[in-house]
Amino acid sequence: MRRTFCAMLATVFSIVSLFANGSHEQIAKGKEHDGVKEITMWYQENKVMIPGFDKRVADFNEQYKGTYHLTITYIPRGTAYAYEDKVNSAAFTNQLPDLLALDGPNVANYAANGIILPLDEYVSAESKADLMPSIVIQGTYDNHLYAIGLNESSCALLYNKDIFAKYGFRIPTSIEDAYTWDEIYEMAKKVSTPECVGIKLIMNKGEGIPYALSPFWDMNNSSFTSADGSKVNGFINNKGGIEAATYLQRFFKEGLANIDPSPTEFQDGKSAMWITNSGGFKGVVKSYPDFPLGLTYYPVTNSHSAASPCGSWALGMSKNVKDKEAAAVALAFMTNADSTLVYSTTGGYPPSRKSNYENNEMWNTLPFKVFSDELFSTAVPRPRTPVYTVLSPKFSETFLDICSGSDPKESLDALAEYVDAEYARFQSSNK
Amino acid sequence: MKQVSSLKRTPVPYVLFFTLPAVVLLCCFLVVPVVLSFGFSFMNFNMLKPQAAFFDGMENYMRVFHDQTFYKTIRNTFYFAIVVVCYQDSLAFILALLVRRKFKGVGVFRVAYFTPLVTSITVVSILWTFIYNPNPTQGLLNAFLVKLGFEPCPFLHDPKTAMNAIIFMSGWHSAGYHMMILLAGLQAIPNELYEAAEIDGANTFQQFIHVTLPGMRNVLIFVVQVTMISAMKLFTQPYVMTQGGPKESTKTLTYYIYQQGFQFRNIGYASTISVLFFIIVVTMSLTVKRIVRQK
Repeated sequence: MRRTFCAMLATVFSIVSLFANGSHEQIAKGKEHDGVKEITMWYQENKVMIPGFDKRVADFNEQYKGTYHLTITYIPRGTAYAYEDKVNSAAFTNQLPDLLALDGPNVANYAANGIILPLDEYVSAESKADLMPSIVIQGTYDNHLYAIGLNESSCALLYNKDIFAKYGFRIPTSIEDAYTWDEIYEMAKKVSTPECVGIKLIMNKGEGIPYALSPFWDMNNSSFTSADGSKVNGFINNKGGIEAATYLQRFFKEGLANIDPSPTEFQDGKSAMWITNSGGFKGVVKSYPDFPLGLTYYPVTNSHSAASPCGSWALGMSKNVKDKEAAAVALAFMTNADSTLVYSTTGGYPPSRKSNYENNEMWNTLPFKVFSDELFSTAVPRPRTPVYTVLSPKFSETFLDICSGSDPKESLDALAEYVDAEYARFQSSNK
Repeated sequence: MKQVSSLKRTPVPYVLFFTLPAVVLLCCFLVVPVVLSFGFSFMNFNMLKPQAAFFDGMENYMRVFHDQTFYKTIRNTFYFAIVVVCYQDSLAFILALLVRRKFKGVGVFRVAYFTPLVTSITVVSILWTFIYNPNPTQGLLNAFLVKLGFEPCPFLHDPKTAMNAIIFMSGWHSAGYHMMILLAGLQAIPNELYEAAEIDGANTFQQFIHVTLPGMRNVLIFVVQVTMISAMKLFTQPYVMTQGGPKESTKTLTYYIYQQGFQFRNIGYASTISVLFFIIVVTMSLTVKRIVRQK
């Protein structure tokens, strides 16, 4: 009898503890300890940015000791969309944190679906005016500001100085002087050997593809979507778009670029050039101090039309925020000029606030000036469309197909048709 | 007979109490999700806006029957399942036969064949992506091919070879596990049967056909069923290695459900595919079971 009783007790305990864990966490999220309000925040697990975020969270908790307490959780992103998957699940089950970091082009989708809330009443005119124009565009949907950029970003062309010196290539010193499409192709062809490809074009197989390569469309009389983000057909697959895809395809077809580059292909001397962002550049400088590293501007078309990538992670207030006022205080702190400067210095990404560029040696002198020059003159934000979450993975999939030999026109036509159908479905479900 | 009377003696509240945890868990993690999926399959359901979901009739079912990608994923899933069952289980059986006999160092071989399974499939997939790299200076396999005088092969980037490359890797990864099950089955066959067969003049091949195979029948059926069911759920390898490409040649049903549900946030449509997937798997399992029972 006693044995039976013990077994029953153990079973009850197991069941209770199974369910208790979840509810305990749920309560803790919105709990107020001795008058201190808990605020939660999610950010992607970007190793180079984490020290900067840890510092600013500690600063916040110190400054607001006894009033607020901010807890940050870093979520892995993997090589594709793992962070977004986590956010989707949390949004579905109403488990989002108070403050949610999100990749810039997802702002429209999250805003359209009510995942993040408008910030207009929490952001002063002065603070908004200090944001980089591209950050304001990226964070705005339906005339409301939904997210504030934590940092900016831009891509440029990294090159191996030894290889370039060997072939006597000229080095551009301004955007007007940047390498043209033909020059990049010719250089890649010249330097390609069985041991070393010409250029590394694929950053990762997720958002990295549209992020780093969409300017090839923008600078060539094309774009991913119409200006209002409602249409893809006739834009991504127009004449300029097909030319851009065909141009990029040549690198893979002729073995001048690798479709599966290793993360350190460029650093290992297995590619002579690399289109990547300032974080990638800083990573090479830090981890490969003896590498013959050169940096120049993002390529331009043969007629010298320029465009370059921009936009990065931003911070918004989630629909599950428990105390809007408290969250607004944390959001203002985590996106103020001091914070954005810390993120940019530690992570090597351009700051999202204009004031951070004043008297800033890092971003006003070479080599990092290349990135800030681009941001102030040629940056084109990625499209703002509520179906970007379909457009981005479908574009990556399509682009990889094109790299593998698919017909650029057919592939882009199919992509455009698919995304437009998805937009129509989105519209019909939001009537 | 004794068991029945013992069960009858157990008070009903106890029976209910002790079965309750299993029933609750089964309901939470199996019955409720299946019922919900069925319900969602008739809805226009955006994952990020669950409050705005509405009944959409047969719209999702009409859409799925015109969706070419859906048919491609069925074809890819079945191709993988059929080929991997033949290849992986044959390989596992051969390996089990090889390591059945006791000889010096057999343990090393058994461990070596089993080792790939200890490594996570995600890690293995990433490693094999490097091995399959089309550039001979970066891909081990292509470096080897080039050394032998062949042209490099774009294993994961040609629709003709991508799924086969995944099958080869998957078989290599999981064969060791099935080898262990088959080995246990082989060791359970009494030695007397082989001795009797030998006395009757049966050679090794005849012993294999008339003693080993009949003795292994149930184990083989189990292994084939397990392989078939796990093959139908193929997800990680295409997710990590090819993202379903090139030209959707490695996109499987589970990958497509994930893509629609999580990436595109179409819970309604993903549920519709899930319901059809469920019907396909149940039909297949029942058919296999029936065939096996008949024999």
